[in-house]
Amino acid sequence: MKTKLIILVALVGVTVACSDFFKGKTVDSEMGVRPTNPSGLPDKATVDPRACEYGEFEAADSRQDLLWNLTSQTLCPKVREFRYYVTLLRLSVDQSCVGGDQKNADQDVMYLWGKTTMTLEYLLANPLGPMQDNMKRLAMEIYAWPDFNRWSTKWEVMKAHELGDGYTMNLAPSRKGLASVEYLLSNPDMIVEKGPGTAWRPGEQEFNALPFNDRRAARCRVLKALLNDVGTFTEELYNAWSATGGAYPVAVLQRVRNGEAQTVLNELSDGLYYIEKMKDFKLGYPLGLNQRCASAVCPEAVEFKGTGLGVPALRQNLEAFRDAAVGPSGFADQLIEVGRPELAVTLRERVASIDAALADLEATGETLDQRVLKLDKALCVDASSPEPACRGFFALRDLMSFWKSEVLSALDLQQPRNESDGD
Amino acid sequence: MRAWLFKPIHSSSLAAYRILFGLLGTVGLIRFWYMGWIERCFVRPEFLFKYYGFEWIKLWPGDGIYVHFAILIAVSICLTLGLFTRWMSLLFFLGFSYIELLDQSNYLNHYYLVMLLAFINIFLPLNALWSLDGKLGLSPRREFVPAWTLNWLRFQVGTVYFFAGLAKFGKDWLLEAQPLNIWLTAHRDLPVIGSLFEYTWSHFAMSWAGFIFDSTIVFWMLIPATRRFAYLVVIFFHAMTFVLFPIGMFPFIMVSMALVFFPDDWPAKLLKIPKRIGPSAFHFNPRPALVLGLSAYALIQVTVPFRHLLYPGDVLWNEEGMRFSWKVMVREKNGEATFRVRDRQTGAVQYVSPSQYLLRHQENEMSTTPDMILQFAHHLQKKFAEEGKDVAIFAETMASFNGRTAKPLIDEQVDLTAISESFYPKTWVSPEPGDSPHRLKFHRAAR
Repeated sequence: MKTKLIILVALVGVTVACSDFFKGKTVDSEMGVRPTNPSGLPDKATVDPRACEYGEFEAADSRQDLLWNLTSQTLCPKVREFRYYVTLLRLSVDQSCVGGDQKNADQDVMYLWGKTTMTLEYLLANPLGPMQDNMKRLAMEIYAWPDFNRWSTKWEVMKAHELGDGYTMNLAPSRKGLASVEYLLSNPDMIVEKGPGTAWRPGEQEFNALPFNDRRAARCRVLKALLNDVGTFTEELYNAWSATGGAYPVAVLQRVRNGEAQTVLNELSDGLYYIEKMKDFKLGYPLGLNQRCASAVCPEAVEFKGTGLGVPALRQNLEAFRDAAVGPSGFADQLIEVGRPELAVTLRERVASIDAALADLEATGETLDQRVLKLDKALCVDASSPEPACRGFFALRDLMSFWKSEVLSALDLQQPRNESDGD
Repeated sequence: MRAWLFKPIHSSSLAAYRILFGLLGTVGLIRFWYMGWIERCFVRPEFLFKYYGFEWIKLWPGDGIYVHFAILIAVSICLTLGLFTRWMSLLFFLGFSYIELLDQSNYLNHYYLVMLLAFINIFLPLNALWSLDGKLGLSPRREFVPAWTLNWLRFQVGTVYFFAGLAKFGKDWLLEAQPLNIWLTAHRDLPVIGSLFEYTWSHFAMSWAGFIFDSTIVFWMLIPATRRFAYLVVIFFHAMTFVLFPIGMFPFIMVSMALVFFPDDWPAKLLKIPKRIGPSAFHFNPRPALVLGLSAYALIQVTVPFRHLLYPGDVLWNEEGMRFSWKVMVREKNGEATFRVRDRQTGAVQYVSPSQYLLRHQENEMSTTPDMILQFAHHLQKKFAEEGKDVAIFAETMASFNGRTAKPLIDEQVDLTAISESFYPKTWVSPEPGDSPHRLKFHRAAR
């Protein structure tokens, strides 16, 4: 078993190091015999080397260039990578649930968890097409944050113990997705807590008194059910992008050829509004700068509080925005193309300000909730705050203000909205 | 004047107008429902922006708004068929006005036009010809009606074109080609004509053509010698706007309504239906009350669009006098608003993004419209009061229009909770930007 785990970790390491790793390889062939064959997955978790090969396209301007390259060269590989990590995460959870060296197994799971969620964070912040359709349904199915509620997941674990092998999970939004997985992963001993300000509910203390292995088994049942569900929707996402499936970039290309480049660009711009979520939910809420926070600060609202990945998630969100906004042929280049180079400069400056604030936050080596707990609110009033998280909030606000008032006007983009008339 | 109002005219034009109006209403309402806009515009929003003086209008409880639409669709069909026409006209006016008055963020000029036409319909003998009312004996068949009926419609449709043309008579539109410069540059990949839009001259050509069209089309439509060609231009112009801009039913409405400028008997002639009796057999007596009513209506219609002159500053920036004025497609305006909320007791400051309370289309509209910003600030004040907090609220805004550098729309130092809505000039709105619009000059980047 230990050998398998070592191979698993090595596999991930190689994946990260080699971008062309996927060619002709399968998870199976690297890992030897799979410990289980989880339902809902293809028989072989094949990483299709041709998933993102859509052919060639000669772009006429930077707008077409951005749409084509971003979808075919950046986002599709990200989707493929995400699917790959989800597969490995599922396998590693299976491994950790069969017993053996729990400590190492949990470490592997946590490592893959980080890879999985950080890849997803990139996709969430640049959600073209399938990730944006139907009110971002897939994103909610896969992640379910901030709808997730840890109390609901806790009760699912207790139910899983009670019902044993007959357990079937209730996959309501409050108890599903990777947000729910995080709660379980960050609670390896599976000690349930009582709700805030309430007494213990029936069965909770009894559950905590169970032997470790029983609690762990119940947790595993829920984990597997959750990841099985995540896997199903990941497959849907992957199929929407894959060259052999929905081939979303080809659909984009077709629309570009039909004269709809501006419309697709607008959809891309709509997706980039995720950065508002960074501002309001991921920073403003914990920092107490958003009215959702009823106290001075709300560290409990930090994303990935359990696994401490709040800051890396912000980094992935920013990278996704940066690739589309100021990357090759990005929105900055388009501003130059229509004769507004000064706006391109400002856009790059605003993105750089957020980058600098995030870099300072990363340099502290602390998690976001640790920073929030140390926050002096009196100093969190503008972009010159000594607290990098505060600087990040105000820098994000400046960027969005600039985006909405200047970038949209110069490129004739509409703010996100459902289709409607105007005059 | 007497002849212009009371001369007998053939009623087939009115009948055709009724049928087209009813059909457009039916299609428009069904489309609204089908697109999911009932839910988006009325069901999902937790806050609806009210028109000043119409705050009392509330959304139907439960699924009432769907029932409302269903009834209105049925009413439109009845109008098309000419069944209980007068009552249906009244119901359509009330029902459509209710929808429009529910939320300011849904305001569109062509919805306003439909409201006005629906109001006019109440007073017109729309069932005079080709109606179920006539077939069923509910109303006498009338082949001739007084001329004021058709001329009222002509006046109304003509007003839209005239003021839309007047709104374009300005530096931005004629000398800067804004906002068409922005809009057309973005349409450069449109098949066939798109490549033209890479060149600034095409933006100027379209700006001037639009101005000349709106300003003079009524004149050409009124002259028999030019009418047919002018109508072809109407169709071409509105087809272009349909292709280039997301303006929904507006082109269809205007192409249909422009038919009122044709002679009163054009449908009868087109369908080769002989007149049973000549107009000389009819005589309509002048009615002073009617003349007074029509005069009052006309006076309101020609003065309301000028009311922005009572306010200092540029109406395209401060929006004071913008609505109900036929300033159609004359500005590209984008902006952002964040509300800084300061607890008066603790001094704690929080920032509210409107998206936490508003749907995107509402937020978009509000972010560049001062009276809506004020209204939302008052809504926030109530929300915080429900939590027992006494707060001061400041709007931190940025807005750009017609390619000018963005600047704050609202004075950030003004506590909006201390301001009441009124018709007085909004001194808390910042002066418009003094700079000229940046003109886009597309050049293909080296690849």
